[in-house]
Amino acid sequence: MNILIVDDSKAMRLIVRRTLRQAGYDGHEVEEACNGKDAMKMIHAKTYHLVLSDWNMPEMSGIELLTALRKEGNKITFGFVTSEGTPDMRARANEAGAKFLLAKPFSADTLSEVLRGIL
Amino acid sequence: MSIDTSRKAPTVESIAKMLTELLGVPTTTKILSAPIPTATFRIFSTYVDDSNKLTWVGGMDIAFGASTGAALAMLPIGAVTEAIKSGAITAAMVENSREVANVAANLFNTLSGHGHVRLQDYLVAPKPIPPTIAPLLAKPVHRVDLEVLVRGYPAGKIALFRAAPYGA
Repeated sequence: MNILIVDDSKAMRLIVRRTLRQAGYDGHEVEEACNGKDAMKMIHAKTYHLVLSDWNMPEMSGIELLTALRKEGNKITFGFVTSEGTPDMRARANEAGAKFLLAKPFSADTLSEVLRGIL
Repeated sequence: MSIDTSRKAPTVESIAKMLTELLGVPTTTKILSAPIPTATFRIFSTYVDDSNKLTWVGGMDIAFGASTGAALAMLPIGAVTEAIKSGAITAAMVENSREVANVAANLFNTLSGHGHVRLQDYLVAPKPIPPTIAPLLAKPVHRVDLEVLVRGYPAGKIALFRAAPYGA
């Protein structure tokens, strides 16, 4: 499966990769984008099965990316991996069609739990 | 996320847990018996509420910024000892330790009094200390001084300064 990590922090992209590996998902192809706009271009050019996205990013935020994808009929599995998870953000994520919202930091076990049944 | 109304500051256990999970390296914290001298702080993180009022300030020494910044990206310890020796952290360490400060805002969001808190700024070696934060450093409602040991890296120091809830 193809997984796209979207985060403006290089370190956080590295951490999500590391946690995916620790959670046992090391057999998948993982690529990275540094904001929603770049992610959109990549998703238009290639099939991804899962997007793990930050919320706040320059150019295009994670929620804007998800909204734009759903608007064009793209049903890709989408989860937020973000520095905070307020009830309002969770509600907006859910309403926009996200499968989950994980607040940083998170353990490999937590990631594994939300990805069970998806990957 | 539940709100703890009984505490003025995050517990040492919650800080250690947050750092351990974020850095992917076992991290321990211990409360220092004496306040860290202000001159020791070379990095400041500032936190505001939804109306942009200052709620918390974190004051950190170079070792804290370098060790957490390096651990986040699995940089070698040599880069940290060099930073401590030179008194300056690299751009990559700044970016990484800023991310640590960003995620740390969640620790404050588990406490009552300030509502929603977020990272506003991350200042490296500001000269002089900005007048927006100097009064809080001098007279916080509450402060916690800690030594933080990220396994495999030099120990660093951080103090958290809490502002009074506005309108209180």
